[in-house]
Amino acid sequence: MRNRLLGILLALMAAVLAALGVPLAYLIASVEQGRVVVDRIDDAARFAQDLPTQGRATSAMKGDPQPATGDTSRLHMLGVEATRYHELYGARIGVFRRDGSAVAVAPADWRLPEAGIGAQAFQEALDGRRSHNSPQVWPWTDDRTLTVALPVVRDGDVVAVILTESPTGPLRARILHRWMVIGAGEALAMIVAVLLAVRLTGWVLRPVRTLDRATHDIATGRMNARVAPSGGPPELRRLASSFNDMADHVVLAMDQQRAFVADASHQLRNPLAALLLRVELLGLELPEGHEEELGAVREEGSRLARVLDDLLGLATAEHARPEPEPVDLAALVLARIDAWRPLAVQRGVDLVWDGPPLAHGWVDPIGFGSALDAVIDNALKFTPSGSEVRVAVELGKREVAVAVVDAGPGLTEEELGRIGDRFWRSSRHQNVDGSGLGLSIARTLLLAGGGSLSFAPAEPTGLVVTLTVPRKRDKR
Amino acid sequence: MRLLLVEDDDRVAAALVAVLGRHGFQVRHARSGHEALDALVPDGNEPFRVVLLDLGLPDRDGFEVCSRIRAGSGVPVIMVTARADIRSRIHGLNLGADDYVVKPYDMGELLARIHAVARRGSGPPAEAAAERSVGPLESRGVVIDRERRRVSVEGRDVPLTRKEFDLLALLAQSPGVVYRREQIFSEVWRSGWEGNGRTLEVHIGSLRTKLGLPGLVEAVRGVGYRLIPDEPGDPAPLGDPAGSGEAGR
Repeated sequence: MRNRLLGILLALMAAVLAALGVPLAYLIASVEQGRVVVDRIDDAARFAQDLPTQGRATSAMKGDPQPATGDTSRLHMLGVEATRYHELYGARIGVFRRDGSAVAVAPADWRLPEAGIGAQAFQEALDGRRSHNSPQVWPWTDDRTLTVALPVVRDGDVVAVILTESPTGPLRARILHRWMVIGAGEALAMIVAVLLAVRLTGWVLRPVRTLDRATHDIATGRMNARVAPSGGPPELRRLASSFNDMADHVVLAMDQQRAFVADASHQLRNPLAALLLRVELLGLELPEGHEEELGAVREEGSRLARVLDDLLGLATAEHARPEPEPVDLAALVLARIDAWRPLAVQRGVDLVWDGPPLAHGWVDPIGFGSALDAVIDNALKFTPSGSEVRVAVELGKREVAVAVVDAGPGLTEEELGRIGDRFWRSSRHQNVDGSGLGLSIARTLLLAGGGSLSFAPAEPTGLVVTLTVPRKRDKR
Repeated sequence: MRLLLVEDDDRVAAALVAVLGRHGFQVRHARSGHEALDALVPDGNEPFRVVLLDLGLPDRDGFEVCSRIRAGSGVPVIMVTARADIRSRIHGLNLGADDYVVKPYDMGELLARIHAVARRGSGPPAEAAAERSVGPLESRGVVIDRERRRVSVEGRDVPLTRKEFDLLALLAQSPGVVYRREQIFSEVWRSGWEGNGRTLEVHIGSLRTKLGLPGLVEAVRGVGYRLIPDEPGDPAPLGDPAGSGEAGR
């Protein structure tokens, strides 16, 4: 989130700086080059003035065999000027006749270029055009010269062409230098933009981060986590305060539910206690021979009390915040089996254990033990005398599975879908002792610890209830 | 045997007082912790042997009342409560409760617990009670020598079988209190269930014959047996427990 936001902001900033900087760089390059070109044109114009074209001068220009002496000396002077100019500025300069023969050239071995930009410029000058638009010189251009041609016009005719070829080194260096200034400016702007963007994203995201932390805390059961009021955009501030309100409401609802459970149990236990006491009192008045009915009424009362206990157990199991720890499930399961063995013996059921000597799982031992109790209790209830209940521990890759297999009547497909629902009991087993809450409590306890409870039919008859728990800590 | 019942729910209290009364206990009912602490101040009456303390009291926390009772006297306290969670139980026992029963309870279990803590009971009052328990018996000429396991009536030794003696000694622990059949079986026959239905009746019958006091052991129908401490002709009225008279005090 932070990186994305930063990326967006910085990309926008970079685009803006590029949109400003690139044309600016271009403009600077062309301005610099323009100044050089104008410079050269001025120089060439000076040479053009010095070109002897008065009177017979044209004869010299036209290559007459005997040029006037004044012309000759002036031509010589022109040559000297050109040489000096060349030595001074390092730029080649030449005065050429229309046919391309040189009038004065510096350096002396320079000839009119046969092709390329020089030839093109010469051609344009012959047509009477100044070369304005020589191609733009960039710091990386291969062509290291800048060519400027100037026609010398007498009486509307182009009589000669002055061609200068200056090295672009200084120009390129100047362009580069000014570009670096621009670049430095842009880099500075970018740094400022980055700092601002970091500050901005921090400001926007800090409330989001605290909100995220608080949400995670509440999701993992620390219900007293709240978002501290901090800065940030007003929308997020509002969100944070709404979140706090919501958390308050959730906690309030949970507390009310818990209080309701406690109150309900309390308020139900008292009348139930009074009722059972009255039953006792009635029992004392009964004539002989009604012990059976009295026992049945007592039994009903205590069953009602058990349902109440189960309901409370379920409510507390749903609120339980188990602390899973690494537990040797093999030992735990064996301990539970030993606890149930007397009852199994009394019912004539054989409790069999099968599994590895060590099976580490990550569970809340009390919750898992209670869940296993409920499942074994269920299995013993439905297993006919003389058969066996098998408890098998299996190590999987990610989890440990404890399967309890009974040899009872089993369940139909439709019943398999419903088992584990609260108060659900197969209509065929309505008379078996119990409230129908045992397995839902077991399921709740396991789910709270990151495990699960599943049911499958057993062969040839019966039910397989599998308790699955993670082997490693659940990274939430 | 006098009991103090601390219970804010009148319906439960009334039913419990009635049932306990039928079992020969004299019950004093206190509706609040304050009243209970007042009632425990010695006033010349027979001291309470057991306190049944409900934790859901209107005026103060039951746990606090328990520790105050503990601090003030050695009378055993059984917590009777609707709070079934293990933490409350541990807390209650840590505060000095001798036992902990969760509503709704089975009457037989509650009686067994009352007898158990009364037996362990507090030192001096229990001894006094033991002496008193001899008193009324002696008024009828019966002397029970627990050390030498001998019984004499009007000075002559009465030979009793082991079970007969145990039965008489048990009933003599708290004359006037009805011992339930299952309790008698547990303590005399060391068995959790009643053998053949007539064993107890046979032993009671032979006790009456051997002691020559047919009115000494009274059968309370549907409940069990008790010793009548007073002269016959002045039986403690059952159903109108002696304790109810003090409840309004």
